[in-house]
Amino acid sequence: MSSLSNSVIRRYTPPTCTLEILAPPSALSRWKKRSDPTQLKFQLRFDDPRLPAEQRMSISGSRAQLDALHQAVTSYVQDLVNKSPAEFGAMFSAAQATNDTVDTAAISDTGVTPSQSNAAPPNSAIQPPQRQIHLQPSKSLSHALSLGTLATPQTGSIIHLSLLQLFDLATALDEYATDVVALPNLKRTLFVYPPAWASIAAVLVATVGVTTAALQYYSRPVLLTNKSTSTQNSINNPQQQIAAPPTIPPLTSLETLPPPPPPAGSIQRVPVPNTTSQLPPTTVAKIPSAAPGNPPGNTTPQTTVITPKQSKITPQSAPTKSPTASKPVAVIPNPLPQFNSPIPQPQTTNPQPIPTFTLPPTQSTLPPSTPTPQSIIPPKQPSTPTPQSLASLKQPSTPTPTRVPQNLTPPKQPQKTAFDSVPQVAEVREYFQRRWEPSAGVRETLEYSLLLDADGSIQRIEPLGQAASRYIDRTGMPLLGENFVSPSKNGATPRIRLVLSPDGKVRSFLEPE
Amino acid sequence: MLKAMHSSANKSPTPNLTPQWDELNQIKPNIDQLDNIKTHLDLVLLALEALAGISSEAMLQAATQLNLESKVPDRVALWRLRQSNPLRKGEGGRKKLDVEEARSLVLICCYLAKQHQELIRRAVALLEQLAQNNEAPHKAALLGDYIDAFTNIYQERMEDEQVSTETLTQLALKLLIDLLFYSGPSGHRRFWLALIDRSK
Repeated sequence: MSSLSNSVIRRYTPPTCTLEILAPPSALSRWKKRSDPTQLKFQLRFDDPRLPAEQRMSISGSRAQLDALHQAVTSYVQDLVNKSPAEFGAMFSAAQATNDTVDTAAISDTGVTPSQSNAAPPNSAIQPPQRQIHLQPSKSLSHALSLGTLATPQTGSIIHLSLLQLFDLATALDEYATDVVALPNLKRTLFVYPPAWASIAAVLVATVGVTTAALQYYSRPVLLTNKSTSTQNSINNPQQQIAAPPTIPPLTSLETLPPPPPPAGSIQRVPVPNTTSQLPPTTVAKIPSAAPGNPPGNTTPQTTVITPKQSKITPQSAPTKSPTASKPVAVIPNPLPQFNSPIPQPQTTNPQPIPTFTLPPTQSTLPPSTPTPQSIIPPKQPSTPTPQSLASLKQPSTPTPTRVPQNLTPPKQPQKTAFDSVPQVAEVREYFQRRWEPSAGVRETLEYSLLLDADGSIQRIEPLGQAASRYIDRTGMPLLGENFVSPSKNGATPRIRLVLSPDGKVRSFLEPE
Repeated sequence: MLKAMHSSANKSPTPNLTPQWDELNQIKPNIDQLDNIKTHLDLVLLALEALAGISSEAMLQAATQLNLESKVPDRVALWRLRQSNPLRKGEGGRKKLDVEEARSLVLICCYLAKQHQELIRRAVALLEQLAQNNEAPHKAALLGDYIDAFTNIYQERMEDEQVSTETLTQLALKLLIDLLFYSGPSGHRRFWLALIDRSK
């Protein structure tokens, strides 16, 4: 099955593989909001960049096969970590010995290689049925993945994976499973990917909605969502992941992970806890207000600095226990959370992913060209005292000589700079250092003024410059009121300048009051 | 003396009802498994120290980030938790570790592993390359330094100083691989299940 760019509704891209979830063909032929997740397809590419192109294998199949693959990988990995060092060593020694006597295909140093024939698996105690997907240790810390029904003439029946490839595969599958489990109540809007014409129509509708929403926009506080990279990325580069996850979504999905037990546990449908039940109505309503109808690129009115009127999510209440439904959850029009992003903080809960699913019209399939109606995005609240204004559309030159090397301490220690006048400055920097990944489209330095609350959450986000406004969703910016850094010692509300460079550098310093 | 499992009602409010915390709550070890769990936890932290130079300060910062300060409020508390490892030298120190504390350490370990995932990946990649070529892991500086540091710290802290270098090397490398898998999105679950499985 080829990966049709307009049917991919999820993409997970760890370094050495790419997992795409594809909408069932029927969903493309008509405009319907209902899509049966069981009809989903997947494509998995083992595209370790260290491999030559001809060795990069690809498999595809049904949802059921994907689940079987996930189960096999999960139980195998659990078995690996459960092993004591001695058992682990013995496992691979045995595999080595078996491989030495069995004529298997050559295994490259880095790679996924197909076996030329149905070679006997290393552990020949009991042979699982040929059609069953399973893994076994192979030689030299590698692992033989028997593809069962997923095998193709190109791949052969067995693919060998290195530890890193196995880990990345497990990561992608876990993230997929989390997504599937996290949103059972939103099945009807899950994985919906409308056809192009419908998207265009949706843009028109959304534009109308935006106009109305814009009126509300100035009159009520709306929380910024966190990053939603992918929409823009996908528009700018179809090769990039389509699903943009505000980092929050994955955390929400973590909440709903099924009870651990068995590593072999199949994916269970676990009702999403409190959060989701309250969200859809409100968040759907909010979405238009947040989305100036331009998913393509520039959008995201995330630039707005808003003082939340509603009760902020305090660190204590935020996580799992759903913010009240009245919490303004302005969702960037990314329909799909970025499930590929690393999960920043375990405690961050965010209902936001859910709303994103309810906004098919603003999906990234829209043609990228539409210029953002920037006028809809209030670049800056008038009340903002920050001297720098959006007038400085050029790269906001950082007043401070932030050339100070960040690694003043041994590299493995938390990095400090001379500007860490309060601990939050370093924490802000470290937070974004983990998240800031400049993409090809971002060539300017992005600068933000973050007003922190005493509890360590963000009270206000002020993007400085058009670029900062435009690309805020790529920064991993947390939501207002969300757990961010540690609380201030004396209840102060520091204002911290955050500078994200296109070369990946992250700088932060305390702004004078 | 093992502290019996107790409900969170007996303690300060559960630090942070994070999803991982809830998930770890689904499976509870038996009391007699806690000893092995204490050892296992201490060794994983030791591996992080040896590989990434992670200090107590970093562990405490992680606890703060995860809202686990109530479980690991300061260095002394952290030391006591780790000192509960029965393999450690010294008569003094707390020998108790309850289930919630164990869960806290799991989350802290996974958080730190995730923070240093790139380093862990690099180390594992080197290990695989050397294994492919049938070469000793010490040939790579990163791995050599890690194994040396692990061995030194282990021998410095643990009662059994006679454990062989080969055993410690094997242990260090296995822990490195475990850390890789603990750094992923389901790392905390894997770690917790491994703790319980290995403690039996």
